[in-house]
Amino acid sequence: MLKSFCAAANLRALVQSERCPNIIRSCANLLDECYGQDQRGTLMDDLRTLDHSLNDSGQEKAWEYDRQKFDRLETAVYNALMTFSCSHSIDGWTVDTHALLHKEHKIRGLQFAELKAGAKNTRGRHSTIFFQPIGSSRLVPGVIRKIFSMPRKQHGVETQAVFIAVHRYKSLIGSDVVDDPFKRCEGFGASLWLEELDSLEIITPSQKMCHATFRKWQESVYVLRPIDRVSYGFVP
Amino acid sequence: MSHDENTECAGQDLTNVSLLNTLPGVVDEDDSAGCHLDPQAAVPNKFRLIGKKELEQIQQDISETTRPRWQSGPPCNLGTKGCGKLKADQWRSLIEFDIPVSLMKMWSEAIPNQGKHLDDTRYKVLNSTMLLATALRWGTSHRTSTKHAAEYMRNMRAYLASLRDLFPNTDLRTTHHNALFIGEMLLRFGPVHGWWMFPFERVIGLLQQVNTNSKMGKS
Repeated sequence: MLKSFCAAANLRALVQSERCPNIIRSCANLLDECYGQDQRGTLMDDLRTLDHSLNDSGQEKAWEYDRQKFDRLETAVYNALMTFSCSHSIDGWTVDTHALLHKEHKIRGLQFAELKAGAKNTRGRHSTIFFQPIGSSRLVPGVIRKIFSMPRKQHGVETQAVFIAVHRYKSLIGSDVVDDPFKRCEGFGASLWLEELDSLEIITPSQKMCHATFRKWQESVYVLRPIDRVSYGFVP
Repeated sequence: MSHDENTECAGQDLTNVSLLNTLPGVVDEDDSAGCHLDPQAAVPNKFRLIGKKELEQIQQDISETTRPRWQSGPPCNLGTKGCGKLKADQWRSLIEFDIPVSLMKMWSEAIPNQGKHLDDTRYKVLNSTMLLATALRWGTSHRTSTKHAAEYMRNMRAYLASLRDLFPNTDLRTTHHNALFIGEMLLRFGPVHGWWMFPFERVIGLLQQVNTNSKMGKS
């Protein structure tokens, strides 16, 4: 048994190495399939470090879709999408009023969900996220309102363009509600944010995002911490 | 802390030591004040940095914490006999978020004050806990670099120094010594997930569920 685990550990190191042949690297997906049923704790954590496919947003493949299943976007989401399209150019994609809505969607191995998805007791566990705004090196917290897909033409192939409509938590800066005691230990990663949400904005899976651990700090204030394992957004 | 308690702690994960030793089973249920900590005292098992009130606050905080489904959170009855033995995963969640945030909320106003020994100690314990949580964050990153290793070592060294300050009569344990090698190992072997002992922990967990007749080598 020890030999098996040592072999597995060596395989992990090999798969992460740049010297690893592509054929062996492609086998990393098999591990996820074998252990996919155990989504909790360190096993998922370990798998996430070694599976290179989890670093891809998975939007490069041809997308087969049924337009009949598309729904009309809420006005607020559509307006946010229009604003997004003005400031970001995505080749082969144009704004549409209809899209395929997802209650949940897996991005780089992590399950993200819209706030209203699931039972009441889920309390936004997969919809409260940290993401990296374009042009910023810091992660900011937000709540997913909608996840939706639209077709995008790339090299003559229709691929899936996923968009996430997010409300950011408002910053404490400028408010006199409470001082953030976590400022003096920045390396810990947690920070206080107002419960109040900002206007809707659109982000894409190409941006860094991760789950969050959070709880109420006091009335109208939350303490949130990204579960980013210092992978990104934290180190310049 | 008694000799037996010391022996028991020696086999625990690094995250289990320090402040957390004062949690499970140590708090006197009848002690509502619970605030007569004196780390310099000759009888350390009388430490009551966390009394009933603080423990209840931590338990409530844990129950109100929301985390993704894949992350194992600590039990809501932490610190009571019914809580049982925590898994390594739960210890990690506890020290990565729950304990530091709860202590910060309860003690963030405690500042070093020579006239108030309790506040001074609380400040030191809070600082020590934050150092451990920060070291863990750098040490368990999904990627590694010289910066990761240096930050981990800086925080871990400061954490161990804070332990010596808080518990001058208690020797550091083997796990503390081992922790000082992790920085070098991060650079040699890459992210800790590739070589840490959690896979073994999982297999031990599986083996513990197998029924045996307690007779080695006899079926």
